[in-house]
Amino acid sequence: MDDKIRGLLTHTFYIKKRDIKITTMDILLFCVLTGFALLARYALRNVVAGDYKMFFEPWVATLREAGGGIKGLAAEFEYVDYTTPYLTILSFISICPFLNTLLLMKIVSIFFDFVAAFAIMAIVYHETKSTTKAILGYGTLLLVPTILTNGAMWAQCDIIFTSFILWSLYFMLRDKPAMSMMFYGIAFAFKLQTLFLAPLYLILWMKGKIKLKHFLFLPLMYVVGMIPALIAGQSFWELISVYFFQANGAMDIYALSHKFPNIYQLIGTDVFLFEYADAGIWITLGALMILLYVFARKNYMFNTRLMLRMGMLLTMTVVFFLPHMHERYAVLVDVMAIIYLFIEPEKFYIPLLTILCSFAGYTIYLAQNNIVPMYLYTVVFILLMFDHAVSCMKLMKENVLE
Amino acid sequence: MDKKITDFIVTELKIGKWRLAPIDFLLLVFAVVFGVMTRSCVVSYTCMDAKMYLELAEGLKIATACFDVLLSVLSGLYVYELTHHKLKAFLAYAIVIMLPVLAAGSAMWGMGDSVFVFFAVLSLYLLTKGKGNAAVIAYGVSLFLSRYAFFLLPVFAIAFMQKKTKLVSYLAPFCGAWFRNGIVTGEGRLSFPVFEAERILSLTRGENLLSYNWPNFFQVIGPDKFVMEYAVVFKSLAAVVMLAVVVLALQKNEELKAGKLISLSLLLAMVFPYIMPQMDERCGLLADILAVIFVMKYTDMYYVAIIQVIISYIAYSAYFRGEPVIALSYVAFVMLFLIVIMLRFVMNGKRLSICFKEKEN
Repeated sequence: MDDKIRGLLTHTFYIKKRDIKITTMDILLFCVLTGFALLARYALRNVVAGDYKMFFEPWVATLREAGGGIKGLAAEFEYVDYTTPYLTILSFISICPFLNTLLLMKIVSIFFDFVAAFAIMAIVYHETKSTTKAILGYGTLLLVPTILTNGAMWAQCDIIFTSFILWSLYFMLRDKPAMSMMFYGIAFAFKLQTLFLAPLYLILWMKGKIKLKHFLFLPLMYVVGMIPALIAGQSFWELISVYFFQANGAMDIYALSHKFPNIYQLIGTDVFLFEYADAGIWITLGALMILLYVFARKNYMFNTRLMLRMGMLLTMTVVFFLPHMHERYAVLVDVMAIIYLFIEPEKFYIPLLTILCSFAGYTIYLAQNNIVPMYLYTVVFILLMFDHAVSCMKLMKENVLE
Repeated sequence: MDKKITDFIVTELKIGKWRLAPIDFLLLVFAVVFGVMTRSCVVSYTCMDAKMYLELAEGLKIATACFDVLLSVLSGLYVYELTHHKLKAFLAYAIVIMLPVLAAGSAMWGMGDSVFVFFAVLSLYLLTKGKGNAAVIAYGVSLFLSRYAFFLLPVFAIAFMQKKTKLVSYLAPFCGAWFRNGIVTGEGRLSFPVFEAERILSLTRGENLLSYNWPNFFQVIGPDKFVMEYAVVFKSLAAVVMLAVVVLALQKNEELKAGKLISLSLLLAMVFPYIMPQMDERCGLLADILAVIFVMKYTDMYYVAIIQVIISYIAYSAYFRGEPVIALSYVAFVMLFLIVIMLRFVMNGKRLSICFKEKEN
């Protein structure tokens, strides 16, 4: 009997089409992780965050008043900084007869938590060829506190654009640049923060991994995403200017950093709001220029580790110097750090510290709790940036082409 | 098509004795553009309400910003002289021009510090190139412009003892210091913008302190206690340290080569603000620039420049805000850590490498 159980647990299934081996234990692990991920989300279902009361609830009410669904997109908002794709989701939620708005919004985000988790699974499998590691990657993403609380507790939707970016990275690793940029374009249609990773795609272009024409997916997907609102009768120019309004930072001007552990936590988030806000943008561009110069000038082979390290460093540089960053804006770094954990497990401290820094801001917002001064998290954040920068240099040296 | 474009961007072209790629030109141009834009965002701020300062500020800010550009070019040249590595030289240029401390010092504060730093770095650059007398003259100009150039005095004493300079050229720093004291503190003051700005600043300070927001030893023991007594004690201590540095360096009988020169200069620019009384927020600027140049030579000690610049900006922001975000006593310990690291390196050549090691050179 015991041997039968052992045999059953270690029984290997072989999926010929994909050349994948999977054991019963892996399946069990997948089920258990999924179960716990769902259970954790169920426990958070009733939490109502300030953003929901202040923004989402009135937006959904406005969409409902305008008729909901596609019709609802004709609604006139006093203020909204989301693009059509997410407003379309909200508009359909507004007329959904089942459950309440909060739960429906959370369900959408949770769905995309799983989309992102499957992307991590695919990337980790692609890199390690280990089903167990891939499933662990899937479970890790679902259970890390930032991802868990972002959607299931806060009802935020950052995971939507993040999941598309993860699929974009996956297709980039599989040398399918068109597919990769298509997903990147979809992510861009959902959120402006997608551009935090844009410098990496520039480097990929410089290294011949993608072509200039592939960048057309960004405007293309954005325009495709606008179609429901255009059908509802919205003006093309208003729809296209959503990101200009966001980039202007008009709603966030009251602090240089919104509980995010960046440079402004060291020099003060509450003074020179206008001067530093503008200067911060130029400093960010300058810092990115210097990094791009180093990465583009050298001749080396690209690999996954380098891509992830560069991606993390470039995104961290952006959120470190840009003004008005929110608690959630390092979500891209969080997910890339999780992938990295399974590619180079001895660097376990990277996801650990990255997520710790990110979650510090979440705690302050959600629990109104500021136990450790934010500037200490900034110090950790800087150390992580050191680590990434040094690793990039090392990996470039190791893979140098002459 | 894509390959043609990307290849063109990185293909080196021969221009005179240089081989440069279009990407290098892009960096040269965009660094200036971003540097100018950064400064233009903060230029409208005036840190002092004094009418006299407001009259001076605009001209001073523009002149200092011009010196920022010159300083970044000089830093690039200096790094090239030290490393013979083009990429590092370009990086040093871009990093210096984008340094927040430099931008804030010129465009926000308008105190003209990059002018003295330019001449101080120029003096070290010339010394590296073997032009000792010209170096001492440049040092004299620097000393005339700011008392913070004084930190480098032991370097020139060592250079003299090692026959790199002639005694007569030391008239320049002597006159520099003498004229400076006459102009700034003498009764028949000249209305020279840099000195006027500094004089107004010291008038607006109010209380006499041992340290004005600079994270040094006095932040640990309290900058407002025994001000007069400690000022004398620590000035004497600084003089002793200066002498000790010269004696020890000569005793070692080691030639002041390029690498040693930059590391010793950086150490001095860190140590003296740490122990000298009445240091203010801007006294770290020289160390900031030297740190950038230093880490381009010793890349595995990259963290020295990053920490030094952050510390400097924390001090700047303490002045701009009226209070520090982080207790300066804590920052003083981080500064001490940097000094120990540098001291260890200068004395024994031991490097504390974080994350990666480079071949000793």
